[in-house]
Amino acid sequence: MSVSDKRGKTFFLILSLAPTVLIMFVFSYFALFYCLGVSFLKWNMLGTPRWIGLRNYLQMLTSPEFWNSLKVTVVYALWSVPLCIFLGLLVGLILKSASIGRSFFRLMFFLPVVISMVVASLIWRWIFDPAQGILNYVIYGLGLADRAAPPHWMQWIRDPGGGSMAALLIVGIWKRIGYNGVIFLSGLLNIPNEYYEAATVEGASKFMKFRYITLPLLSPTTFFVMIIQIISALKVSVSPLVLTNGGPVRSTETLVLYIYKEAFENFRMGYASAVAVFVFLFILLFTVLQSIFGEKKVHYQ
Amino acid sequence: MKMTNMTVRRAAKSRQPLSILGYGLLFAFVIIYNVPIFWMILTGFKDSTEVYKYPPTLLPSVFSFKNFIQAWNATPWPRYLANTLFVATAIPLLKIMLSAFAGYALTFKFRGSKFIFLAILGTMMIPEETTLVAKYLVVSKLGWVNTYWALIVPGMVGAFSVFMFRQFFLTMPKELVDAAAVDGCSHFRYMLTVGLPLSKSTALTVGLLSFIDEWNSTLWPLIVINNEKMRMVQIALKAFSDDRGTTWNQLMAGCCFVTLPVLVLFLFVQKKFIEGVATSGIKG
Repeated sequence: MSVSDKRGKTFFLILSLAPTVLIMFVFSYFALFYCLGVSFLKWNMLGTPRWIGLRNYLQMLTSPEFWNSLKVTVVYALWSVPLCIFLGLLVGLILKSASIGRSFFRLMFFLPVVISMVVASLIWRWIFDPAQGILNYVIYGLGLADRAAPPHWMQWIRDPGGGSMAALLIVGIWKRIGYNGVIFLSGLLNIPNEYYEAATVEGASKFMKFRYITLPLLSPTTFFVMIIQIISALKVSVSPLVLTNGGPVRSTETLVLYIYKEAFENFRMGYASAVAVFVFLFILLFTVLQSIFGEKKVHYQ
Repeated sequence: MKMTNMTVRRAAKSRQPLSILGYGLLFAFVIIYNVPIFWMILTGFKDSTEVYKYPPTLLPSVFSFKNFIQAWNATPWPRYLANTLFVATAIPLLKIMLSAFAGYALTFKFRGSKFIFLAILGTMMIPEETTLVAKYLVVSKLGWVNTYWALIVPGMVGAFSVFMFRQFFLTMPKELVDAAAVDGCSHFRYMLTVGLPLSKSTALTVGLLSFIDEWNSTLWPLIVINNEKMRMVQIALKAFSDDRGTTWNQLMAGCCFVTLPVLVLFLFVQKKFIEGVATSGIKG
């Protein structure tokens, strides 16, 4: 049974890998194919499942609620991805230049990342409260809106015409900036200082250094952040669940929240699975993009 | 680790500190950025008349714990906190053990080792959110609904932690294993007495990331637990908020209970934690 013992080694390898491989197989790969299988069934958990072929998919493609949740998710992604990248980069740059006390500032930007999405959503629901919330009080105080005729978006989570989506975006971005900032910071610190020194000698301005050194050398990090940001935007679910429960009038009902509601409130397991297969393929598109273009560049310059 | 040291040294060379004004602005900004968290705590201190005062008071007129005590007694928080602590501790410990052994095993070349490694990494391409329904169906077939099994078992494996342990064991000098072989030491004993203790740093990173992840986990416990006694804190908080409506001081007190443990832990280990996130970049 020593290290050099062949049979002992085989036994050891099997025993070391078996639990991980087995659990991953069941809860990832098998679950994925099971999901695909269930998507061909009509099943409410109680009765016997009935094979209905592609009908769930047809129903999905003709359902206004599905298209609505797709639209909500895409709108969320289109706003949150560029904003999270831009603000994250800004935080990364600030953290880099704050060489004294950097760990303190990094910590302060990271606090919202550590608290849970449920807590973050609840705090913001209180801040957004149209009548008693601190946010509207500040907006009035700064004279940004007229107290006598407040614009509809100041109803925040009760306004289906943009206010609820803005609220959802604010929570998501607030919670995400520190995370992206930390990733950008490590990307920035990996750019060799010699480049900047050489540019200084050549008399390059701050902007030129940023444009011709920082941005190109940071592009692998930016690409990586972009992909994980897109994927996380496509999965957004807990914040709308807690903040608005998808409302008002489904204005914040994202794809994953839609799946959750169809499966666990309406018990349409087959239909929910069909939507889940769609979301999986949608996300896979970006994962594949990353593995094609990102692989080598992400880890090394 | 080597990478981080190098970057730190490089950064030290390029030290161009901000001006005093710059630091002042930055400090003001990070305070404003965290206002929601302060607001949660301050609101928790207010009583039910003050919380609805308009214009709102910034600081509570008296810092009294009365509201916290009321909120604490309104729901069996100790039970929920204990549940969550149990699950959020069990998962990291099991994950460290399983991932360390799997990662170590994958440093060897054998038939199928590459395939197994890729298959493990491949699970990262399957987001939890898309397999929720199927996972729930599997768990209910196993009869695990409303049990700790459902909460713990799917969470105790992780592709990225296997990857991190494999990376670590690959950097370990081969002489260590050879020396163990001469002593007639089995791989099991080798791992338990040499491998695992040496991988302390990796284990700590994996453990911390996983603890905070599990403490904050919401969707999965929401689905597999419907027995009140088995609730995890995040779900308890959601239920508490459905229950309390807009009693904001009570709700914010509840948020404090749920956040405090993880916040305190984070303040102690922030460096390790943030560096873990920066190197992994796959969390969230």
